[in-house]
Amino acid sequence: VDLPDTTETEIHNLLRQRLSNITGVKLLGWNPPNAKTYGLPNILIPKFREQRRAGSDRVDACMTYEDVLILTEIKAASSEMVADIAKLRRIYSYWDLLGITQILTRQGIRFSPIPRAVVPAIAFGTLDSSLPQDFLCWHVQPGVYRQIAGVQIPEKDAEVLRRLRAAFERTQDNPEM
Amino acid sequence: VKESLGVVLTASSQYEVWCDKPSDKDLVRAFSRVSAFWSRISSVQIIPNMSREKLVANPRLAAIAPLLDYDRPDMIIMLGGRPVLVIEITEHGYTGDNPLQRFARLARAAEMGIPSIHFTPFARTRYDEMLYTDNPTSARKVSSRLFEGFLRLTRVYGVPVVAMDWAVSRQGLPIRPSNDNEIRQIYGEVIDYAEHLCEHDGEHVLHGESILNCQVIARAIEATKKKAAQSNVLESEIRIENVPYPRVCQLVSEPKSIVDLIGSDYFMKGKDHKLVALRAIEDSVVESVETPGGLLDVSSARADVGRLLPAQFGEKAWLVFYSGYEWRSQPNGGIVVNTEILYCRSEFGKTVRDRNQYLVVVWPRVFWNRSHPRRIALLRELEAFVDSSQTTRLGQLIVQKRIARGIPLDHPNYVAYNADSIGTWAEGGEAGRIYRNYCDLIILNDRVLLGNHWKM
Repeated sequence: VDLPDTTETEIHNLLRQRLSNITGVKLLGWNPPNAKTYGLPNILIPKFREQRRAGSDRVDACMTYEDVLILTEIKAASSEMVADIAKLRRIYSYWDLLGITQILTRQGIRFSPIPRAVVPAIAFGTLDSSLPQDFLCWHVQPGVYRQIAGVQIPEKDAEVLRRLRAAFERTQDNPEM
Repeated sequence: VKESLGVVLTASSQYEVWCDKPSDKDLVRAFSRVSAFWSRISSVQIIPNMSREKLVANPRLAAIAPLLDYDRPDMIIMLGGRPVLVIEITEHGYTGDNPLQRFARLARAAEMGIPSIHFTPFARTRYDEMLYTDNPTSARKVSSRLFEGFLRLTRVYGVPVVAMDWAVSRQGLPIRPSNDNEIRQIYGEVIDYAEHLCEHDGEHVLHGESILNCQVIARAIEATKKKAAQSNVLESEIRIENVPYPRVCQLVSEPKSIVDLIGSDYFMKGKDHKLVALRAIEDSVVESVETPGGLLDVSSARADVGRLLPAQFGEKAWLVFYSGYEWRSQPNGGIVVNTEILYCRSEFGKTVRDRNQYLVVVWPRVFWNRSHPRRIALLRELEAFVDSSQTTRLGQLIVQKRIARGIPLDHPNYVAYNADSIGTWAEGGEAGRIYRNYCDLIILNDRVLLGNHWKM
């Protein structure tokens, strides 16, 4: 399919709109490109436990579906996401589920239910590179909503994500359906 | 339909709003769900990114172009095609310089005779503290200089510049709405004040008539006055008032003498970045000076700087403001405008020519010449220090500081490197425009610049 170029901001808007309409998805934080938000907060994850001056990472979108917490980075094209994937891997290698939920709770996020697992995700408008196998991936264009779960995602989490996929892709104007 | 200032207004097309970002536009739409006034706004648009020339040439945008001279306000409410109210909404409070970041925008609105609202948490927790503990962290109050500055703008320009508090959560973070009821709870003061000002006083604003006696406006000014009275700032070490002109001339001839003026102890406490600035000061040599008659090369001979610059410079005392920041627009721009209006402007002076004391900013981390060998060398030294903590002059200074203050030598430093760490002046940039408009002199690392109002 010859898809038009879609900007990062448009991907943000499309993804947010789609996820907002899915029953069971709870959006916890959103950080649009070069913009502030008045509704959902920006989510920050400290780089280190003790060194507060070392700074924090901002996560583009943060949500739960059932009992899975999903931290998402968003760009216009998948090939632009090397640094984003590395950032999420760094967060995951440094903080465990308990640590991440604790940091989010400190920012005023309330979980119900408490997440059982955390899954890294990327969203993009143009698929022009290979995708990380341990990530959930969303390919988003006007009229196109595809969800691809990497094969290295643990089966119990993948099962939850399959239910999310059904909701995410369920739309009449989706040519992939 | 009514006639007003030659513009035909209809009830439905009377008001429009120009916004900085899509999120600001979303917020206007949220306001319109809870307010009859906001729901009558006929058009909500995002200000396009275009040059001032193009803005002025566009009939729909020409009226807002002057408001964008320094920076883009979050919302501009228009009545009959002309601005009547500017609104700034920011969750970034904190102490020190941060809250002053948006001051230049509101100063510009006041200069244009347009009232404004600054909506921010008056006290909130810092992310970089609360992220590290489950225990409550202390809320940081916004610098009272912000409120003092608003009152001064109100007095000088005769238009209300008021501050409103963004309520915070138990964690001390600004509360965000999750439904329409909460929009009114959180932003109600802004929503109602904007409605009153536009509906009751909008025409007066358009006619340049004072609205300061309006009860609602006067109450908001009084509330801002109360905040200003709660002084919460220490005397600044980097703002030196009543400096005689010969001492300013010495700063031009010998930029290193700023260390004597501030005191070397200033650099040996607090953030390590101060020592990056100290390194830039150590190497600073002014090679050219802008004068009313043109640029003069002073690299070969130490000229009598006092004679090169406008004769009026010797007639008043000076305020010397030192900026240790890297090249970036904010908070530098906001601080300079706030400093100028509070400490340099005469009682009712409407222009930067109306001074009690002149303003010189010393900014050693910024060069005029991007390719200057001294800039390149400073950047290389900084990069080498950050990458490998090689033995460098900067490293020596940091060790000296550690020893002097009893800090372990292996204590982490948070010095970062990028091309703007030792930056270059950009005439068209936000900081460039603001500094040129509000300062009399700007002492960069390699050149002295003259404020726009002194150019022939």
